[in-house]
Amino acid sequence: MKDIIILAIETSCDETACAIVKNGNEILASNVASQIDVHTLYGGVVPEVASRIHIENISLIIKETLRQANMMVEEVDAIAFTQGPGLIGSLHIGTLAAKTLAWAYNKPLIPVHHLSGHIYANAFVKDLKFPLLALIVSGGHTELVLMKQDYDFKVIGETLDDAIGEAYDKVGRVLNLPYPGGPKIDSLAQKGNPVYKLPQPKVESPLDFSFSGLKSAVMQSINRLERNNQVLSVADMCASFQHTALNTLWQKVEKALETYDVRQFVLAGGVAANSQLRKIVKEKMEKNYPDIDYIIPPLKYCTDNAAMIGASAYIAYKKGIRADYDIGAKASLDLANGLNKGKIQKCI
Amino acid sequence: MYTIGIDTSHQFLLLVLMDEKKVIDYIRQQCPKLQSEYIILELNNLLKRNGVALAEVSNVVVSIGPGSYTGVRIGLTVAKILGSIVGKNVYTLSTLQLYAGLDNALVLLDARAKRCYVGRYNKGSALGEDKVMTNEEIRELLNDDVTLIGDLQLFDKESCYPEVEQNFMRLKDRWQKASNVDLLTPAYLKSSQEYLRK
Ligand SMILES: [Zn+2]
Repeated sequence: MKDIIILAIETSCDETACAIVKNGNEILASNVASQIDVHTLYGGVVPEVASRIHIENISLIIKETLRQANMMVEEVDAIAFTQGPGLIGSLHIGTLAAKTLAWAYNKPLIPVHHLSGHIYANAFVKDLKFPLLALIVSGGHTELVLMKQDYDFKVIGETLDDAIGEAYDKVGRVLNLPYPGGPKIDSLAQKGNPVYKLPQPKVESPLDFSFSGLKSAVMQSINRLERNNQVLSVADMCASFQHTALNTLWQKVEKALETYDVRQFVLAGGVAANSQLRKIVKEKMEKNYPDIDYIIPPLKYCTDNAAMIGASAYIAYKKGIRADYDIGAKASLDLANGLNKGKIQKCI
Repeated sequence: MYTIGIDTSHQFLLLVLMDEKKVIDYIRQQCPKLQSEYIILELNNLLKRNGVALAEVSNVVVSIGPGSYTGVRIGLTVAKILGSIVGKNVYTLSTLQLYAGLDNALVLLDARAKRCYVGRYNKGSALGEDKVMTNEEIRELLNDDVTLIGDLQLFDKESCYPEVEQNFMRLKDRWQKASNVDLLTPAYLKSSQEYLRK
């Protein structure tokens, strides 16, 4: 069978990324220009600043990725890009770069849903098996996705307010930790103990999440300590928050695994880099669900990258999903609908 | 040998096909916020209906602002890819200069929040730097004996964007060649530092 080589571009948030992927599971080259230092300076992602850095990086990163793969655009089979969801100004840059390349080299253009990319990042570890349950955890998303087969996405649980990564960042801010809060809280939590009691977030639907209350609970807990003239142990608070947040997360996963018959569980998204979450998944899956295969992606595939977009696009390519030149980036995009062309208004 | 002119820095999607001497054809649509959707589709249309292959296009000249940040980035992203990866020569023009053409003109483009981007040009040369001014400050300048161009509706006049498509050609000797396309950035007139949280 002929190899399918896809050049993929991802610019949904604050990473400018390009990759060249062979057959959906082999990376020929992958580059991520992270803006994290800049956004640390700003205390979070500033959309206008993110867009500015994307346009500075975009042509260079594509050129460098082609150079590393020792390829010319003529040799790739398709151009893929993240259509959404994400920051619209950021998405525009990757979308336009992909459209320009597809047009200039007369290549098929493949739109990819960002979360689909996160799920298919696991294809670099081993083949996905269906039915599959994915837990996607990141700064923008907390979702449980059920897939009966390739490219068949059903969101069975989602956050009703903050994403878990967002909750980490907010608690990080409350504790005066530098942005991004996630990795910092994770490492401090390992030096502390979950001694502070924080209420488990309550949600009516058994598979949905809620994290906004946890931040308030942390603040109240800190205020209480102050009133009682007790010293706050930041490490203990990090451990308490992490313990509560991840326990909630895992309870929902167990509920889903008991409700649906799945062959494989995969972890996905930036928060999948969290050391405690990785530990929980490994221990619980092996102990409680020995019959269900599971994948914890390597750290480099957890955070945003373009290789995962290439992996997802490979399946889309085989399914014949193609976009026209008038496709636009979408800040919000439904995973279940896959390709979403949206409503295009007529120009005057 | 052909040149493509691109301006997406205001409310228009303007694509111009030129040979060495003249404008052959152009597409000018008023589609604020939709330039990103239409730019490649219309570039394709423009070349196709004139029987020109992209391989016959050697140059791209693009306006780099000041203007709508998102808008400027749309044209510039396309130009950067065509320059850096596809191998076309890329030239830039100030958006205000493009709107002024060869006129003795004061160009005013809406910068929102009761401000405008202001450019003073004569015969294609800048008289002073492009800048941002409040509409109140600008009103004082309106008595000058110059042609007013741009979003004049903000000053109780009729808006006026004369022959911008022809201006690409008229300003040919003003095109700035990008020595390193990858390093091209829009002219924002507002630094990223100003977004630092207080
Ligand atoms: Zn992501």
